[in-house]
Amino acid sequence: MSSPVPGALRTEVARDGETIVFVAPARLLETMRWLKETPGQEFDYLVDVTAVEFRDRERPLQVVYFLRSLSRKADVRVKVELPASDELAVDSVWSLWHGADWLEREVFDMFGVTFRGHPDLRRILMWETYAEGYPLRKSFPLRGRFSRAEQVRQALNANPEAHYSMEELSIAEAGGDLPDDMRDRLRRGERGVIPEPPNS
Amino acid sequence: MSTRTVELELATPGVDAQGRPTREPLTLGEEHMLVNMGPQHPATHGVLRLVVELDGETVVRCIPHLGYLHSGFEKLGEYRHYNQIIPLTDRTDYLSPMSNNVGFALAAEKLMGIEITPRCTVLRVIACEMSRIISHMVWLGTTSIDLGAFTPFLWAFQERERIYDLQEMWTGARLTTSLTRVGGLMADIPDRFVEKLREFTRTFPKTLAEIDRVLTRNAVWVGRTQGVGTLTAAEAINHSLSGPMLRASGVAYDVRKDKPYLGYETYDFDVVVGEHGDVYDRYLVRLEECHQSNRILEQALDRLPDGPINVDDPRVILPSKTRAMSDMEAMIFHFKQVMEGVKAPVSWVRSIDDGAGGLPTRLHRQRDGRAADGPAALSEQAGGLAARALDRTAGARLDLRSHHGRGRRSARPDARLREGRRDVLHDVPPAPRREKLRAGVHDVAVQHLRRRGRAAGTAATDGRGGCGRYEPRRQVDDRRGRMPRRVWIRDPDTRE
Repeated sequence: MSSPVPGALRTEVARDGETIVFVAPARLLETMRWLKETPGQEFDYLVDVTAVEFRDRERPLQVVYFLRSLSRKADVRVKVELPASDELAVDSVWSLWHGADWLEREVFDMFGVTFRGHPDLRRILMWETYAEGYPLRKSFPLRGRFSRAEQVRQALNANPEAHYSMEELSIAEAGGDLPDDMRDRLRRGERGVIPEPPNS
Repeated sequence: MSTRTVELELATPGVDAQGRPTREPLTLGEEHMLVNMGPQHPATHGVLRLVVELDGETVVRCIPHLGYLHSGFEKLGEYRHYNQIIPLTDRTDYLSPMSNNVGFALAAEKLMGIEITPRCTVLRVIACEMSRIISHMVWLGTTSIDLGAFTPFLWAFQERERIYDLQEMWTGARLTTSLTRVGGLMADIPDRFVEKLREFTRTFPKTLAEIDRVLTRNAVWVGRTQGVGTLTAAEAINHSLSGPMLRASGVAYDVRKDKPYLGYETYDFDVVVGEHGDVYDRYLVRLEECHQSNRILEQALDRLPDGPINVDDPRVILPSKTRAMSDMEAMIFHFKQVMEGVKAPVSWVRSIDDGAGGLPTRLHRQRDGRAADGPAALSEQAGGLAARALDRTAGARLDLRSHHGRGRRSARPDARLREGRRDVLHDVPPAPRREKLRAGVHDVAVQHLRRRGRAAGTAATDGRGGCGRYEPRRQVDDRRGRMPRRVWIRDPDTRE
């Protein structure tokens, strides 16, 4: 990092020698575009997106982006700090790297961070009707919130329709494959119930 | 219901004189159908649910659902000592457990600044390359059986079984090896292991040659893999593909070369890259990577030094039973390690280990600022791994056009790319005779590399006749400037 990164708040060096750039949430997209497109930076490969929450609840949650420049053989980490008091939301980098699609969905699924501008932000590993919150948050207990019996009960009561996304159902509706009663329910907006995650 | 007529390519047996599949008109209804496939389906080789939109037999849209194997390894890691996490890494990608173990151990050692012993380093290289071979064998076997080729499936799985026997000798487990420990290994290799692995490396290339002979120019195989699931180099990078998937698209990114670990820079092997980024190239890349892994195994066996497998560091390695029972300090270290686990400084470390299955194993170790927290702030990207593992499944085996379900995949191979491929092959000199083969092959390979460097994914048209479209194309990383050990162009007439 010879030249200053736009939007960088501070930089640190990790123990394995990689540079960590902290970026203001509002300027994330601008910084990432700069890192990707500026000659001499050329971080063209998004390795991973993840998040970290600390046990100290006062410390902000961090969203971490691992970038690699395939041509320059260099790595950099970009971190965005999201204070717990604010809304956990940050711009999606999907427009720069389509690989961010599933990675950001995973962070959303596990940490509850919303990515603005993501084309298809829904749970990826947990099922769409999962109601226990975000498993990798420190406030989430190891064994989950609900008892095994409650989980079974919910699974048995789940409406199978809820396992299809609206996009998928639209295909079936175009083909006239849906049963009449289901089409009626969909028209009334009664798709499978997706409970709100508990506030924590 | 309105209808439309499309031309359908028949891969076999209808191949015309130029080697192009014949095209047959087919009338389709216009109504699209929604089909739910999986999560339990024999062709997914795992659990993956696909919701596909069909237009007749053509898949026009595919929406993948995953997470059926998600087990919350990161969450479990929050509550465990470092060595207790290693059994979880077996399960992140159970097709190559040993390389996952190694990836984790490397991250933890980097965090603590531990330098592992020379013998341990070489043994870990052996573990990684064995994993790569079994993972590629599973890909090859299951993909071929999905296309109806039962024989290579059995050959591939037999080879895999031989590696499993070796893993069982070493660790006592076939699948969940839990091989590494922070600072070393769970066990040294047993007697006769080296001998048996040598026997494997001696005979394994024969099986690969047989698989190559059966599949590489097979009309069914070629017809159903060439031009399918094509990703250009730019697309592959943009979608964060890795491993053989990325290399098959012509991007020579191999962590073992670009960011060497475990002394990989001292081994003589080549990075295999493809050209067209379709399933056929992924097959060629994986097949050749098996040869390269075999080379690395041979070299590792040649240089395997004697000595301890564990570092001499009482912070991380349990003292021997004799010492623990006779020496007070050793007893204390033993107690503290068992009760409190391995202690690490607060930091962030990432270790990339070129995983076998097209996904580098990425492990993130993070610890909170306060020592009292213990390892509770650990986070391991196992879920991400699982996601990418399924991603790979979706991308490679089922040939989805893109990850996010919006891409379209036609059942018919992309005609334009097929043209492009033939054009590339036009550069091949017409069937060199056997004695001139070596020089000729080199020229061809260099031409291919130059061509790829100029315009990835596209090829100039020159319209000359080629020598057939079933040529095995093997390339090396041009930056290395070396030929792979086994490169040849086959004579399509004599089929030798």
